[in-house]
Amino acid sequence: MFRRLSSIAKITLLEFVRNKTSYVFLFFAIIFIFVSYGMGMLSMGEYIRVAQNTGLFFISLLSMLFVIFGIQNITIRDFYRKSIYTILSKLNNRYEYVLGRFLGLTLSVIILISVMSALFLPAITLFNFMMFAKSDIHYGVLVFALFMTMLEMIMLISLAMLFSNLLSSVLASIITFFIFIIGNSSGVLKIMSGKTPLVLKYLLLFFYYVLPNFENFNFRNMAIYGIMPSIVHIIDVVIYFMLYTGIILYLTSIVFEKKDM
Amino acid sequence: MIEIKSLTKIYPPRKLGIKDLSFYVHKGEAVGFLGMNGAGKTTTIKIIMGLIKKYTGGVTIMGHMNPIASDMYKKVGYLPEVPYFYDYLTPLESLRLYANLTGITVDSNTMTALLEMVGLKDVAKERIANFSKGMAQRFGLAQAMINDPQLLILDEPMSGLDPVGRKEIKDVLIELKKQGKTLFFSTHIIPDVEVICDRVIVIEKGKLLMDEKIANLLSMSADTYRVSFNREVIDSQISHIMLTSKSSNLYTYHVNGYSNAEKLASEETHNGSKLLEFLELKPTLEDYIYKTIGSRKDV
Repeated sequence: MFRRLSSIAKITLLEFVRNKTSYVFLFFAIIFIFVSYGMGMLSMGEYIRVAQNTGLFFISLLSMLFVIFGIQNITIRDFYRKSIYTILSKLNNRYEYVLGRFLGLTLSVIILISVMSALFLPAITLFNFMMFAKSDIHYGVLVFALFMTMLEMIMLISLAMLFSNLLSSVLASIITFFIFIIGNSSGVLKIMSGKTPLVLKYLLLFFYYVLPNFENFNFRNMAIYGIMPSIVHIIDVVIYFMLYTGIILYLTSIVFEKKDM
Repeated sequence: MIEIKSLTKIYPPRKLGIKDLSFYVHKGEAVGFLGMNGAGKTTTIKIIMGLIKKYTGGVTIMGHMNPIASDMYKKVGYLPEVPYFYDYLTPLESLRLYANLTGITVDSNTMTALLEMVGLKDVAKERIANFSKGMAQRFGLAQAMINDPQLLILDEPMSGLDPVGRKEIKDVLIELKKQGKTLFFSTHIIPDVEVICDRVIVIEKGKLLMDEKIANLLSMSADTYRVSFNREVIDSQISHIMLTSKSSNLYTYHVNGYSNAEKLASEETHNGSKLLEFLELKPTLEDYIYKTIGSRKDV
């Protein structure tokens, strides 16, 4: 099974290495680093903090777009152009395809975020060096925040894969995008549930618990101020990530197993 | 090798795919699967290959009622209709991928030999993105053979090929048949079926229309004769005569029934005409299929 999974993961990764779209993302990453610098320059006395915040936000944004476009690309190739027929005819189980694609996309996102981080961290250091008033850069917490962005994106991959199996590729992309936005402000759902009538309250609470809580993975502000979360908090987030991603992947496999090609 | 029993597929909401379809394919047989566009050929093949899950009826492959669970697809080669392959890979990379997915180890020489068999050896290291439709079709056949399968299920293997490519693929299929492989393929090119296959299965609107050995079909006499004379037949009392061509001293007629043809020949020679040709017209498979389906446009 490992051989089959790794083969599918490998072609997924190769697709992004050989696809020009990936380089467009890297190009934008470089542009955004300069935008981060520009945003920092516009702020009053908080140059490096604003530059860090903007840079981390752009890394998250680009990664999210990469996941959505990546899965849309795979859906078009595999399902609409039917390249999946030859793949499935050679696999033992359909879930091998789901896991293989998930692994490949995960590796692609890890590489993309690593490359963007490798551009971002030296750039921030350079900006700080160029400033008259130096600020503290908390590299350890910054790297931790970037790692949490990776987990967030991996969870998003599992969701996007589920939607791409249930909906058309365009609709799946739109839904994934909105789920990402809502999931990044799920705290608002909980606050709102306390101030609404009973029926709406339970509806909001239902969404709060069912929709992914991407806010859990947002350590950007803490990273800027050099605040490392407690180990218990980190373990909580990692367990949430593993459970949520696992359940979604399981659901995706079930849906895919029963799907007529 | 393949046994289909009472297969029925309804596409939502109520579109009939196939209805109560039953047939079999024996080991070592080459069976052509024919039918008009939308007859249900691809649906049937997709059900056999486990790509369609929601249907009623039974599919048995190599004696196994549940082909997926019993790992039977490892012994099957499959070419889908209008295949699409990952165009960022080369044929060699793709073949390695398919070998890995099947769980077998194939060396480079075997892969190169496969590509040579389908006429793609020279482009083994070019990306599939640069391939024409015909080249992709040939590669499709190569990937179907990567596991040296006992059974090949091909959905329109000649589609998109130029005459030379078609001849090459036809030769490959004939060679595979000689090697004892079982072939089951759908096509619209009936003369190829006549050359390659032992049996033909025709479906129409999802139902079985014909399942007959080709040798049986071809041995049936059409009971039509071509008779030619050096001058025109005038005032013959024999019925079912049709003048099909005439030139300065060659008049050719099609006559239904041996007795009519013989009578015409003896009458005309008696009247001084010279008998130039007396030939039984052998029907082709195409004639039978067209006659069966009742359309001459698209089988």
